[in-house]
Amino acid sequence: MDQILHIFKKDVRRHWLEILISLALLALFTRHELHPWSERREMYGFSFSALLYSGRIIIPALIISWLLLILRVIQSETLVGDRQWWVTKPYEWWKLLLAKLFFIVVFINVPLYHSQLFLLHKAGFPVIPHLWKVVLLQLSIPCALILFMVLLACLTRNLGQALLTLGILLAVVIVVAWISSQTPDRGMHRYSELSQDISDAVLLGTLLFAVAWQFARRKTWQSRGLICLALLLNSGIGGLLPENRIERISPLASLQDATVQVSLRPFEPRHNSLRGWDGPSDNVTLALPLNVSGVAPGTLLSIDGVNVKADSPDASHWNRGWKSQSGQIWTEDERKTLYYVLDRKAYEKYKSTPYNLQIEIVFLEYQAADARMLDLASGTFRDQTLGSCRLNPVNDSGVQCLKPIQGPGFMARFDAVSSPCMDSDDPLALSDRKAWVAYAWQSPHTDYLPASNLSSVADYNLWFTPVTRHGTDDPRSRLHMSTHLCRNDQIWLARPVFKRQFRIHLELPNTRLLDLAEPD
Amino acid sequence: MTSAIRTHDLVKRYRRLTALDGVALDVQEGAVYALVGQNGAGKTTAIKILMNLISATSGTAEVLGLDSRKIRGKAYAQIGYVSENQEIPEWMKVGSLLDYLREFYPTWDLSLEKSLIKQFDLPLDRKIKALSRGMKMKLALASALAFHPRLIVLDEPFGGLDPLVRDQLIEGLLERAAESTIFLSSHDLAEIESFSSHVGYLDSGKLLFSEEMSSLATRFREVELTRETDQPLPSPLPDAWLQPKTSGALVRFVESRFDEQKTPADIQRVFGSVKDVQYRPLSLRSIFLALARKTEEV
Repeated sequence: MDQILHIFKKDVRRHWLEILISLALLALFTRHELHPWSERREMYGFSFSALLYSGRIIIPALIISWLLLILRVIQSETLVGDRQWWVTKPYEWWKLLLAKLFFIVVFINVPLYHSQLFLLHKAGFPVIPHLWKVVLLQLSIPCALILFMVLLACLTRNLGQALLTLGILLAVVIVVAWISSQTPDRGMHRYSELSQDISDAVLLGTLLFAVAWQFARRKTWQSRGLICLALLLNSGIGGLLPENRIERISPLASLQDATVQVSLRPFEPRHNSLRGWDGPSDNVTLALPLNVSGVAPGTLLSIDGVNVKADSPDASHWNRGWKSQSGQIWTEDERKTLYYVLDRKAYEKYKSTPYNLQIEIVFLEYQAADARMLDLASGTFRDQTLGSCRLNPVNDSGVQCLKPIQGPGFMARFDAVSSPCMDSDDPLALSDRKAWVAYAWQSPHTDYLPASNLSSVADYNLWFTPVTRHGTDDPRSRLHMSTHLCRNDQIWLARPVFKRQFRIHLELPNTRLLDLAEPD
Repeated sequence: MTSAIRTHDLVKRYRRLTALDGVALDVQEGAVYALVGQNGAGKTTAIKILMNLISATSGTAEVLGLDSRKIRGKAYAQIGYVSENQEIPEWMKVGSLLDYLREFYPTWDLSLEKSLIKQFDLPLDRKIKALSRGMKMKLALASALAFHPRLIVLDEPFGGLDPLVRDQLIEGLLERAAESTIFLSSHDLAEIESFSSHVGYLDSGKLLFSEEMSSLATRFREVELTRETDQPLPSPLPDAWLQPKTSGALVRFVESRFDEQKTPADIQRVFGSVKDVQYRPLSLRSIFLALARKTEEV
């Protein structure tokens, strides 16, 4: 313990300026987060002064200050090379490691923890019940960031080398992201929880071991190799273990069993708008218009993905894999449009050939639980599920809320016709009462750790979107509308419970891609 | 006597370059051992392996009875290591560095520290960054001596220092020689000769010899003889005769295995009768040069 404190004291003397800068930035972050309602930030543009005033620059600056602090403190006894003065002194490696971790905890985690408790207190939430949850909050994003920074500091010799490595990593991430964007089924692979847990545990364990190994033996290339191996394993475990492909985890449901009745809507004539200055993009979007019905009240179907396979009478066929979607189908919905993107080269090749299109759609089905009515009181009001909320003063189709640690999953329904602000005798409202219904939704959290955030107060919105009825999505229709919430409105609120995942199959014979393509 | 340092068949390869080639060292406790050799001979590599700063490709090394690969942490509390290449924390002041180090060594001697500060004339309040190279070496040596190490390892400690600083360092070192084993590397032979008890000669990674200084001085002699007639040198000459030169009837060479009986007999056998023979002792520098030139010829 003496040696740990001895090294710690030396580091404090050496890095007082970096410590002060990071604490000052944390104070700025805390001050900014004291006023979390998000519309204030949305008012600013993208100029530097706007960045400064909006607080968007504070979090990146805070993270950079932590990075510099960690790099400097660990590299003051650099672990790379054989010319360091300290390596032939009687340092115990584990005491050195603990001294550095103690420094990081004292000057990063503890101040952040206090800032997070302070933010909870100032937002009007009790602090004591959230002590442990705030610790868990630190285990998500801050600790992941810190582990990355510690690894970077351990495996590079100095600040310049660390920044160069960071630049290389950034380039690798961009390349990998680009490659991943070119692969089919992107965003749609789902591995089993077991394989995900195993690969996460292997990665985390290896990263921690690499840090300890580097401190114990200073075998830099071994540690670097270990990390590369762990990353390869992490991406490979999903392939080694039984992969939960979309088809496997989403059983095909007959249209009768499907909770929702779906059919393809006849195409509407498409009018080409003026092309932009940049000319056509590299991709073409195919629009698949659907009629939907039959979703029971209290049920939500989230559209997860769509796959289009095309076969032609001359035996040629093509398929670009699953594409993720982000729409929902509620009870009152009557029509939806799915979008399927393919590259222009393929489109130009196939666009005029009549194909039999096989369309598959994956749905996630949720059921409402603990449903109740919630009065939207004037000013700020409290709700056990939502936290501290108010009507969004900038956009009245939303309710703004603050909640300790993270926002909840929810299903919310608003019927404008029954709103005190609506004239219920309005002939427009009477023509299709269901068209005035709007829904808001957030999927439930399933992770062990809270959502990644530096602030302990989640700042989120319930955005109400009107259901899509026949005619309501046409901008020329009188029924084209947006939602307007007002004081004393009532909303139906429930907790979403995941029920099942399934897919349905539709066929569209003798169709040209040309007829489905969205205009540029 | 026990060995402070012992290596067996030590090899270090960097891809195609062999930096150490089967080095076998045995440094007795209490010795002042100088490892000499030209630049690039492998001296620093050997020391880095002994200090567990790098790993050997093969072979073994023991330091104070411990496998050098296991030297870490507390083991360094018995070893004072100073190298010209070490990166001392330059942001510290001289006094704060010594204060900081004191806590790491249970055997740190405060009075010895004070006497070394005085002897080396170290300015306690000055930042290390502002010190001259000589001052930095004195500080490094003071911090390596103040805890009474059993073994002092110095890698080229006197390189580029002015004579005054060098004398101060040697003086400081010699005062502690009685209680420690000193192992140092150098290519400056004049300074080594004055205080080393043993010497090892490393050439291109190979240890050509390793012996007591007194025995080395006895073993090497410059031989100058005058033959009866002026004729070419007979061939072959004994291997132990280095750098043979002839000028008329005069022949000069370095005998590397001088023996009072055997050397005159060898001369008689090779040259027959000679008019005059003189045997002169050699300085370490002359021995080193003779060996170095022999290697170059090979």
